[in-house]
Order: sequence, then structure tokens, then C-alpha cells
Amino acid sequence: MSSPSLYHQSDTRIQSELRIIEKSKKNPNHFAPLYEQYHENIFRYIVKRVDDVEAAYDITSNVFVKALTNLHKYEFRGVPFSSWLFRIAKSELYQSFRDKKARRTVSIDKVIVADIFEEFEESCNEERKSELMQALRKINEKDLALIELRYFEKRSYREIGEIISVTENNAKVKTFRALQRLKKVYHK
Amino acid sequence: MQKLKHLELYKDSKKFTINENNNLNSLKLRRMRKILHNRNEPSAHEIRNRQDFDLVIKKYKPSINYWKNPWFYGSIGLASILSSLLLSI
Repeated sequence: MSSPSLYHQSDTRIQSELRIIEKSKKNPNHFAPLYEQYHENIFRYIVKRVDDVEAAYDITSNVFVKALTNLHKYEFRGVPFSSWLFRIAKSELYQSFRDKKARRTVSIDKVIVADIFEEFEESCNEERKSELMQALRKINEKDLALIELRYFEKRSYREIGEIISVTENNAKVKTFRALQRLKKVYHK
Repeated sequence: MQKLKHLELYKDSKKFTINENNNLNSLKLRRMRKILHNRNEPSAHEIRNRQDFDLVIKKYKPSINYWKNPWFYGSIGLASILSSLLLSI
């Protein structure tokens, strides 16, 4: 399932979010509408990367606690609030891997596997699928994160750029290189 | 895997740099990677039911910035004046 895009927001919506953020800095109870709006997206981002659903709920909750604690540091720099939340989610996720509270997981379905083989310009069969799974285990974390965001979650380059804190073009280049490296490992 | 063993051997030695330590963590993470096929994710309804903003508020601890409080500088200033006066007597 691809995640709904939160990046093509209207100015009115961004302004309304900023008003909520300013109110929440004074009173955290005002943060509720943003929590309700982004909870599902953040949860889906996390659950795809951990094997335990309950752990994913805990990590999601921690993301919002951390966001609320650091809200006074948040400044609008032209990127949506969700981008800031995703960065916190990424850091919380890796913290839970380090604490061994969660196991690094890659969630993949049949359609995605077929899409990857289309990118490789190859036909898909059981043997090749198993080789691809081995390659996904071998590639480095940064490359895997980019492949997950682009090919498994179908995010736009703009979204990827905002999640990993690079420009849209840079995200495109990095994703292309990550796919090339996956291809190289797969063909070894 | 050979590289991982090699890095583990040198983990406690002085020659082991931060960069190598990161590589070790990355290698461990890769070894632990699990691939799940056609996984059943919770539905939107189920996720919405698990929303608990009260728990977030309960866990939230506001960060107190002492240095942003005028009383902080006031008391430090007063303490330094008093200590300099005491020393001069």
C-alpha cells in the first residue's frame, strides 16, 4: 500500500498547521489535530520497518512525544511539518534498533517485486526473487532506505528529499545510484 | 561476515575508530534484517482506534530552559555581586 502524499499541501493548510504549532508551543493540548492527522502516516512508515506491530505503535507514540518536547525548536523553512515528523520517526526507529526493542524488517509484496524486476529489465521467477531477497539483505542501510521509500512505498522524489533532508534532484540521483548498487549486488 | 569478525576483534582496541564502529553497527543491522512478504498491515480503522493522544500528553515532559528565564540571570548576577563584596571586605 502506498502512503498518501502529504507534500503537496495548499498554502492555507500550511498556514493553518503553523497556527496550530504556535498554539501548541504554549499549550500542548492544542497539538491533538496534528497528532490525528499524521498518526497513520507515521505509523505506516514505522510498521513497514519493524516486525512487531505493537512495537510500531510504541515507537509512533514516542515520535509524537519527542515532537511535542522539541516543538519549541521547530521553525518553518518551507517544508511541511510532516517532513520534520518523518525525520523524528527515522531517528526513533534507528534508536529502537540500537536498543534491540525492534528488529529491522523489510516489508515487500508481489507487485513491488515485479516492479523491481521491471526496473532491472528482467523477467520475474522464484529463483530470481530469492536472489533479490539476498541482495536486499546485503545492501547498505542508506541504499535500502531509498529503495524502500521510492519502490516499496511509491513516494515522490520530493517527499524522499524532504524525509532524508536533500533536494528533490539529489534524492533522484541518490535513489538511482542505490538501485544501481542493488542491481550490482543482485548480479554478483 | 569475515569483515564483521575482523571488526569485532578490534572493537576494544585503540585503533578502532568511530567510522569502523559505525560499520560494525551497520553490518550487525544488515545481519539482523528480516524480509516479510505480503504482510497484513493493520487497517486505517484499526490504526485510528489505537490513537491515544492522552498517552502522548502523559509522557510529555516540557523542557525547562533556565537560561531563558530572567530570574536565572538575576540570581546569578546577585550572587556574583554578593560574592565579590564578601571577598573585598
